[in-house]
Amino acid sequence: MKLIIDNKTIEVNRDLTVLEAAEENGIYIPKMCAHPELVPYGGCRLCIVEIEGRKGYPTSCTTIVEDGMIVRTDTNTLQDMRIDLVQLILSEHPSGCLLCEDIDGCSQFQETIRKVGVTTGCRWCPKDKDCELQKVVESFNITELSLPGLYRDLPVEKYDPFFDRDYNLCIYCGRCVRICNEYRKSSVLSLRQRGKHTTTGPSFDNNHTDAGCEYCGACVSVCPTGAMSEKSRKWWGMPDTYSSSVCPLCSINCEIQVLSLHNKIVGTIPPGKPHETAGELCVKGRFCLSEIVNRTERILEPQFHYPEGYGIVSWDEVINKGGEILQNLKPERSAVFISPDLPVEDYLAAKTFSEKVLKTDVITSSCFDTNMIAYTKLAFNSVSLEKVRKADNILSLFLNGNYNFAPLTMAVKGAASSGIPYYQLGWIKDTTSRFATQIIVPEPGDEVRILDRIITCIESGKCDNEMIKELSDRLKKNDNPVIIIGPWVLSLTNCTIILDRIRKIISITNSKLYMPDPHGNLRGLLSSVSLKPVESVLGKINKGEIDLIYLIGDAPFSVKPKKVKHLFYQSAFPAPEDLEPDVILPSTLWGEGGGTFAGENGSPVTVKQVANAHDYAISHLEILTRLASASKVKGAGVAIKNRAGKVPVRLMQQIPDDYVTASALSGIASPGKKLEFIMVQERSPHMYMNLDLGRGIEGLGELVMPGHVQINLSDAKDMEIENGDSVKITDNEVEKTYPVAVRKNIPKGVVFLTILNGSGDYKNNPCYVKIRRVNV
Amino acid sequence: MFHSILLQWKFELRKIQSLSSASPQAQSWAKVSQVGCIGTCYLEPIVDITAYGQPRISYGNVDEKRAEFIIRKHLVEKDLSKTNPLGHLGIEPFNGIPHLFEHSMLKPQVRIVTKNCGLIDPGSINHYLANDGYIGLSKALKMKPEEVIEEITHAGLRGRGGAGFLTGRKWKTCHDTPSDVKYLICNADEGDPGAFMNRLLIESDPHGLLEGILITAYAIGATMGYIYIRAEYPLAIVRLQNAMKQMNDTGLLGKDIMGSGFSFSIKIKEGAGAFVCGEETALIHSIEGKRGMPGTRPPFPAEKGLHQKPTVINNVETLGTVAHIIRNGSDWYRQYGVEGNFGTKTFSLVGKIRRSGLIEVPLGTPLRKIIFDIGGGTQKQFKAVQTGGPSGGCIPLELLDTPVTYESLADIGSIMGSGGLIVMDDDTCIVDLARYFLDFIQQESCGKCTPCRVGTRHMVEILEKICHGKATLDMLDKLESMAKLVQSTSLCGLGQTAPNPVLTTLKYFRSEYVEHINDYYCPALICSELIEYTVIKEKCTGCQRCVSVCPTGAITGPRSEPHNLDVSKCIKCRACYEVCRFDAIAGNAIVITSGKE
Repeated sequence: MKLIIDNKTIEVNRDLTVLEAAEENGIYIPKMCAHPELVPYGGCRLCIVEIEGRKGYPTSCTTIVEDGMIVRTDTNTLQDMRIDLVQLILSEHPSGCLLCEDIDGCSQFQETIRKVGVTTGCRWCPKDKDCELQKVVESFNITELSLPGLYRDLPVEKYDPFFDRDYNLCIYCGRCVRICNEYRKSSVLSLRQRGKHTTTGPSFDNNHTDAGCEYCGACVSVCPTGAMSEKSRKWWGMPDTYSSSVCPLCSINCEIQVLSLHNKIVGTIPPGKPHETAGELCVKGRFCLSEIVNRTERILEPQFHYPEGYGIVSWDEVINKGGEILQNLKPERSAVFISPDLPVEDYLAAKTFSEKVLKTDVITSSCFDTNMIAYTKLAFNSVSLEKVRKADNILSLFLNGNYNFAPLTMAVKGAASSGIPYYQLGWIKDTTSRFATQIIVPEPGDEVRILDRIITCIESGKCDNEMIKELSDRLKKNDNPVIIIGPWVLSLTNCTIILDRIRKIISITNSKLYMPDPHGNLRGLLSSVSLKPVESVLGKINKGEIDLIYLIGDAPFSVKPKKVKHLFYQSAFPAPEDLEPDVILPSTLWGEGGGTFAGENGSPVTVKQVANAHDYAISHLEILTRLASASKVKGAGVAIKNRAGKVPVRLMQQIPDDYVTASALSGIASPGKKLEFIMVQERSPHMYMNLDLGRGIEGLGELVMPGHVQINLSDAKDMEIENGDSVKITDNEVEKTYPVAVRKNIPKGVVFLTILNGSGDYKNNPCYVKIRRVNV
Repeated sequence: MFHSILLQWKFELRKIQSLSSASPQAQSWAKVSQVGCIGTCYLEPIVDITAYGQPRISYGNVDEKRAEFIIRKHLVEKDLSKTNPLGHLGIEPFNGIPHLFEHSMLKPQVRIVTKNCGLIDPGSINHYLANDGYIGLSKALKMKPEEVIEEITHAGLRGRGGAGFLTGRKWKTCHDTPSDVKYLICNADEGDPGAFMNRLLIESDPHGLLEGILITAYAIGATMGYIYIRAEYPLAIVRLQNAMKQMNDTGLLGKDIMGSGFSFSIKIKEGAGAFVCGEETALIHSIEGKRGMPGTRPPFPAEKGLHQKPTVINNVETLGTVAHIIRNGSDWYRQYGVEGNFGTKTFSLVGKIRRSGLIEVPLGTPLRKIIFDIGGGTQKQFKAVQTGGPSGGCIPLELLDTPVTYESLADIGSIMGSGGLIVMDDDTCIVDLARYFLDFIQQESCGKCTPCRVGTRHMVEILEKICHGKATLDMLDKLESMAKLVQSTSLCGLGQTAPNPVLTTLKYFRSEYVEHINDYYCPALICSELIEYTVIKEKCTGCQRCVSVCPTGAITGPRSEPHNLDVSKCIKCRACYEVCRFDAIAGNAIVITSGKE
């Protein structure tokens, strides 16, 4: 196809818009609402052109190219109209600084008295120099505002976590609404009201969280003006470096783009052009990473526990003291606990260190219990996300997609929105629930029985239920049925039984399995180290068989075990208050050092160093090497360095077969007498090393409400319970009191609690409970 | 009031029945049924009586007192001499009473789509069937769909919703687009304030619309239809639901209609109060459950509409005409109207007109004939007529010979629109009118595109300044250039036609704008910041009528002494002015003046 734009003949061999054709051939047409990921909108009207044979001024972003089209983009009429349109936008958007004659000087330093209010000037806008409206105005060479201001005088919205909204600056490009609805499919934002009262935001009087906002930050990324701004880097100005890296917070290890300023991480966004990329990040990868690295509650100096108390010491001192302890170790009497979120290099170093210096092979991780072992073994069968996107039937079990695993939930939403059947089983509504054909909220015990009925249906053809029959048929006969299990199953009492049933189902059907892991590099850990089950190690400690415990980013107990003589604590985050380690070694965090992560499919991905270490922290590798030297074991330091440098090209996880899940064949946990509510608990999937992000990052805490029991809105209304009240909850054996969070995404009849470890406060998970409000 | 008349009728009839039991000679019985509206609204309430052996006789302006009188005279005493009927609806002359359709408002009309309105009971399918009902449908089902489309194309029917697009061409595009599912949507949103053409048709002759829908659906190959009707028309909705139920019971809706193999079902979808949802792409989004916001065209709905399937959207009046064309043939339809504008159009004649109501005339009829012959002209001096609703233009006296065709109205800066004709006299301030309509449009703007959302706001601000005497002359140029910008760059019809009232009034009544600005003078004495009320002491009879109606206590004065008007308290509500003008005792002593310095 050929078309002529401004007398220039252009060849086109695919379907594209006039705007795209022009841009690809170096012809500039101003635009505001057009975005490469989104369906053309035609709202701002800036990209108008003249097309021969068509009346009026069509927008080039919505017009598809036709053979023989003759287009003009630069006539005087068009330019005049575009300037008028920009003036209209400027009459809604406070823009005093844009056209001031002192603009050049003022952007360097404020040389005159301020002529605009703080809230109406560019210099004090979080998007200064990064604003697309500034660029459009500059390209037109406008010198004065021709229209009176119609500013809206709206309050800045600051009550939600992670980003602020100043709708006084909104120019109604609609990108946020469209990216949320079309691309991320969360359907949180909309244009509301009409006429001069038009605004953007969640509809029907919901706040963002209740409207289902995932805080994925897509809207913040694509907003052309300062209407949306990230709280954590609001006033820091433009970053000076953009580097690509990988997120360490879960097994998906998303690619991210790290923004840094003066060697300090200020934020993370998806890869791609900063204003265009909406990405598939979750709230943690998008907003929490910089907050993790820059926290004030980090250990930054080495400490040693003298008889009189802790002393902050130099590295040399602590290494010497540590080395002394290590010189007198009996072999086979040490244990190492290591975090599943570190790079492979650190794991190889730790393994060599344990071998040569501690002379032990007892390495474990506090996450690596029976349930996790069963889960990880089953997860060896996990397919890629691409298979989930192309699924023709999805059964999702125990996946709490809220604030987690965003590429997975987007793959589910993408597949489900094209009409394939999607069955969701669990006790919470998440961002995918809108698309579910069937939502199953099982009674305690039924979470296993449903699986049994599916197996019976598949094997014998005997189905007592229409839905079970349909689902079983699809699992058996479809080309690409996918079963997803979420790590919530780890907290359930019937975990191993459930996993066993799933294993059965995938062996007798055509189903593929996808199992995400909330740990950043457990797969990397299992490829480098032969990890022992944590129960066996704790058993050894209890029996007094261990003299020295070495913790690397892990804190499996809150108090130092009685019979242990020495406790080394190597982490970035403070130890639990009563742990009282003997040696405290501050380590660097992600981004302050590089490393390899296992990634999704066994092909490793790399985290790069993008920032300097804080104060006195040094890397795990460096600490272990120095301690190895100080322990006087010959060649240990060199061996560690060498081993850490030899990361294999493909990482193959291994779990010995004798780690058999013992309780797989025991009976289904009995739920007890039926009471009014189902109580279900989930171990926090937001751990990073020994920091629970739900408790450590304030914004995330507002979303996941740790320690609060979450109750459905209409249930709360019936019981006259409000946010801030407390309730007593009992399963007739244990009674506990919790503060309340009222939520719209909890199904009726269910209460939900995030816990830190184990399977929770009650005998079974899930279980039946009674609830009573505590009267103050 | 109509309801109370109905009750009054039923009460009177019971009286008659009790009378008849007392005296056999006075025996008399009557059935009361409701009909729709014949369109002569200024004569309502209208009651027709058909006594045994007599033609149907129409009475206008019936109130409770007259109801009692008419029943007694017509039904009991059988003496029509003093009842003063409007006319009769029989075939032969009767007792010197003129035929109803000789009435000056009705005689010039050509009533095609309004044929049954006001004459049949809209709740009875039998009435409809007895009046050529469903003959068009049975004819169409014997033709091929392509032949039906050809017939409508030949008839030259154009979309009566306002755009005037050739209906046959739209149908053909949809028919020719291959798809498993096609939709037909009837646009009954009728958002123009004061417009009631569609409402009258649906309430008075729902089957007329439904027959047209079926024929259209058959022609384009639609499997499912929606009637998108504004929620503010509850009676119309009820009448449609009843009519659809009757159709279901008689095999005229659902599977295998009339045994032809053609199946069709209809859903009624109520609007939610947005004017912009009358725009076809916004309407489609509204049915899909999305925000009622227009989308870009192309692709046009006839190719990709509801749920991305080929969809035809037609106005109520367009669909209401279809059955008549098929029944009588396209040649019959072409005898009315003019080349390129065949057929008839309904217009709502409202405002400062003597005979207000709903009329149907052939296209090409000059405006002058409609306003002065059919409408009876204005009482005061005619000033302008606005056609096409809030997006229409104002037409001055000099241009009243313009015939009502799509092109002629567009040539003078106005639009046909859905058929609203708002007549204005000297008591209407043209600047205030432009401001009122633009304000309406600005409130209904969906907010998607910059020119409509922001541009109309600036225009309203300027107009308000002019009405408040705070404008300067250069603002007129700003107003005009902003109007042109909004007109050329808006995304949808709402924005593109929003400046029409402003542009036409600037063109034809610019002097009035200038007077407002330069002389602080509002000739119609409407703009409250520019007018002042005064009591002429010499004429004041001191009757205190004005004192009793003044809401702020601005007028004071003891009985029999000239009253005082405190300008600072006056809110210009006109109450004193009206009462002083019309009350018998008052002295016509209050004047409104305008123009300072």
